[in-house]
Amino acid sequence: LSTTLTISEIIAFAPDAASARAGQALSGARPWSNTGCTDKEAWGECQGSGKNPYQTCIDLTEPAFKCTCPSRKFPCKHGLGLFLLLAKEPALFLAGEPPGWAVPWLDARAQKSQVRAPRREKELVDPDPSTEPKKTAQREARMEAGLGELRLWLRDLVRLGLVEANSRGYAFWDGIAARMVDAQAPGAARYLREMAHYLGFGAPGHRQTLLHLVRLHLLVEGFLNRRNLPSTTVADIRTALGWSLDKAQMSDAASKSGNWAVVGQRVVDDDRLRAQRTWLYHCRSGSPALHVQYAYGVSPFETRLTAGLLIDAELAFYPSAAPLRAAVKDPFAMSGPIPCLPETTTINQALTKYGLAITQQPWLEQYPLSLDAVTLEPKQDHWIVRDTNGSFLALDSRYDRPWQLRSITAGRQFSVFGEWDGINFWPLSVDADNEVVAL
Amino acid sequence: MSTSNDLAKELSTAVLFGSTRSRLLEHNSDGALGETLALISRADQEQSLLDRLAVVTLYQNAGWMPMTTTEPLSRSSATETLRECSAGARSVLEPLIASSNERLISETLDLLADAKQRISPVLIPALLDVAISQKTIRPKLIRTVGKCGVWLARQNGRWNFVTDLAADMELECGDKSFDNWATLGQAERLQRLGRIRASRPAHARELVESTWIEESAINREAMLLALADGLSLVDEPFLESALDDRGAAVTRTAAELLARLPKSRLVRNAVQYASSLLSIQKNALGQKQLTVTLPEHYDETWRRDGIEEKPAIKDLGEKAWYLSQWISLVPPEHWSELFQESPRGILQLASKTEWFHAIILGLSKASNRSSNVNWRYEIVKYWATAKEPQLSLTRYLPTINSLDTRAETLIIETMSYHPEPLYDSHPALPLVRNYSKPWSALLSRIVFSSIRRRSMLPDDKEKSVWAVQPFFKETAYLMQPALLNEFSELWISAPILPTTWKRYVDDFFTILNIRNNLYREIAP
Repeated sequence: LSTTLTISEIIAFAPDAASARAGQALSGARPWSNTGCTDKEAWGECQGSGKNPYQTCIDLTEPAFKCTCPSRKFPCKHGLGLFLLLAKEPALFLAGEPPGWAVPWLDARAQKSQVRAPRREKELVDPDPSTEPKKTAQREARMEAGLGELRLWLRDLVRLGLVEANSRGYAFWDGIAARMVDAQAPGAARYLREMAHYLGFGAPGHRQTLLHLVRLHLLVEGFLNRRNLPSTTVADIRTALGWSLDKAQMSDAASKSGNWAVVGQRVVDDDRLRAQRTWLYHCRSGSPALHVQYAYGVSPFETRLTAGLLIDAELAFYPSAAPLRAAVKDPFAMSGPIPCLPETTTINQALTKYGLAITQQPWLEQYPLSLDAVTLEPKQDHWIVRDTNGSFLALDSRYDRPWQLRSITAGRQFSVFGEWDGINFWPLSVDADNEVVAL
Repeated sequence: MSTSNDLAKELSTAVLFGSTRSRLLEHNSDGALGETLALISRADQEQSLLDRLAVVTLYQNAGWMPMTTTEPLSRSSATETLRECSAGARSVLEPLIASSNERLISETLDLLADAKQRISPVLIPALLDVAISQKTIRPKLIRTVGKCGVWLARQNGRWNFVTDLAADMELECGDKSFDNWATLGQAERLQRLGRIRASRPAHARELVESTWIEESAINREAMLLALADGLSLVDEPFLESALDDRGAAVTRTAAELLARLPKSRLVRNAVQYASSLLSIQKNALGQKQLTVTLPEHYDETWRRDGIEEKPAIKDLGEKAWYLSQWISLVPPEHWSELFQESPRGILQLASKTEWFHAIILGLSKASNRSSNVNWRYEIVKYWATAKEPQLSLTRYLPTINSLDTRAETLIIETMSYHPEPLYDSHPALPLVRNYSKPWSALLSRIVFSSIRRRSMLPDDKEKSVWAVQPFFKETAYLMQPALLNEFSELWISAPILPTTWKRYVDDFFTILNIRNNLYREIAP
């Protein structure tokens, strides 16, 4: 057996550069013994600094890693080293049954994956029918009270003015944000904190602040008037407020199977909480999807998705007036690099689609743009992507890889995929010389 | 009728500065926007303000079209002539750049240049950033970043060094004179001198002379050092004039360069004087013996030729120090001719005198300056194949790097003559530690095997390995990477290592493995 992944794709699993380097150092035959594999898993023993060798096993379908070393990184250098060795020297892996030490983990994974898929669907689709209405009613009442208070607070805020509110410091915002968390509306709390954050930038942050204020106002009014709104819009409001899905909403959830291209990925740190946004495109229909997951500190994200690869998976879409966010169902398999970016358009065409989407779902904070024949240009003190019509979008000032993008594209036209937040563009992958490069 | 822009501006201002401080004009709008706004109740001022802001913002965002520009596009990079390195090479190089591993990056750049390949553009910005602090890799960049790298560097002031190197290369390739030499800063002049000297040595010296009096003493010394490459008798008049420089370091450097020219006035003078200090006579038994006549006192006229008054080595007295310096200025083959003796014969005679250290130091220095490597080889061999080589002499020995394959022969002969596995005071250790050129497979195998055998021996206080252990890691940078699997198998079959060795063995294999990956991925 050999893996279909390339060395660089395997290295992409490394949690940091040091792990990538250490993994490569362990990709030679020397430290490994008793290496073997089946069509779904690979294993080996690595002589480390301890008396006994570390036992390392990889579930190749996802992939997932298991190692007896004490490292807190995931995957550890032994997992990466074994995976790289498999890619470079598949002949060293004898086909056979997994060793006794690997069997419990592999069996547990197999059972978990059998249980997890239905369970996840069950969680999403079939909550306990006897207690659910009561819980829902309790939460709705709590949120209604909290958001009713927020409605009054927003009126006071508008009367006071945002500039004056900014002078009152973060405590002014933190109090109401904390009350929104208590009211089980963490999404509202996040909007409030971000408004405070952008106000801190002065005039340059006003546009974002006002945009968040509008989203928050629509959220409050939408929730308080939810009984008069379509179910998909109510679902969007609940999602934006941070309310996980329930049976009623997911019963009509659409799911889509097949090959999905993982076209871009971005991890945003918020203190110790990391949010990972992964953009996918359905290869046959061209539908986009957004997978969002969170992890604390250095702990790994539960679902391992790598930008630049194809996966064969089923995605369940969250109910929405403009369905975009989706959950990747277990199990799924990676199947090689993506051949090209999704269908690309001019900037105007892409923004027309975005405009349509936000009229249906005003709380869309990121939207996927796949742009054709653009060039990256410096303009005053920032960077822009510009298409053949002369239309241009500014890159987010926090975007940290403009020079890498400039180098890859060498000043020529290219296709690019990225996130649009209504104001700035954030490139995530680029098609350069018929090779999709994840940035 | 107001446009949506007017409305947005007015509503935003009201929200930013407070509804009580703003007087909202009752603007109307036409079309769908106007119809929607008309539905909003004005009963509650703040609620109405928020509702209208939401409608107008959403309306604007949904219909927002990007700005356009008609500015001409910036120039793109020229078409590359070199092949881009493989994806595999990129994968190996990426973590090296991320960890700023200067030594392996440097080797990778050499490999790429030899294979006529260029770095993947994805890596160029990170690599240029590394080169900001690691100046040794800068000269290698120019051959490996391709046209894209130079094009990119022109747009970012932090990477000026690439642009400078590229400009110099263009100048060197053409036959342009450096009309602007005098207008360059001192640092720039120095930076360019080495490269000009390599291609047009006489022109480089003329440039140095043209601004000599304007340079600082530090720059004058550095410029003389830059003239060391491509040195010839044509440079002698200038170097002679530099002997009268007001800077001590400048005169010392000028004397050093003149000492490398066997026909220079300085060397001819030294040959004449030093010949009066050493002579061979026969004793009563008819055996040859070397007679040494030490200089009696320091002569101030010596200073101009770089002879120092105070010993720089504490083991030598003043007179022995003068003797050593005079011998160091004489091409060593002069003694072979004068005494009709082989280098080994002369060394044997010298070893019987009480001035052996001074003589061997002088001969070593002289052999380092000489283009004839035979003496260098013989001095080291004489020392290494002694029954009990004096380790205190190690620092007096000539450098062996330029001996190439003969250096390897020397090391292998020494290890064979002293067959015990390497330890800190093993005579071969200083030789092999100072040999920094890539090793042959034979030398790699011999050293690896020796260290491996040592690692399996119990600790021996008489034969410590404090220096051998970290040196083992260093050998991974010099050994042939293709031997990785062979060495791995040897070590797998070894018994469990003592913990004191574990770290160094791991480091050794880590480095060798990375280098093996590099060599495999960057095939010419």
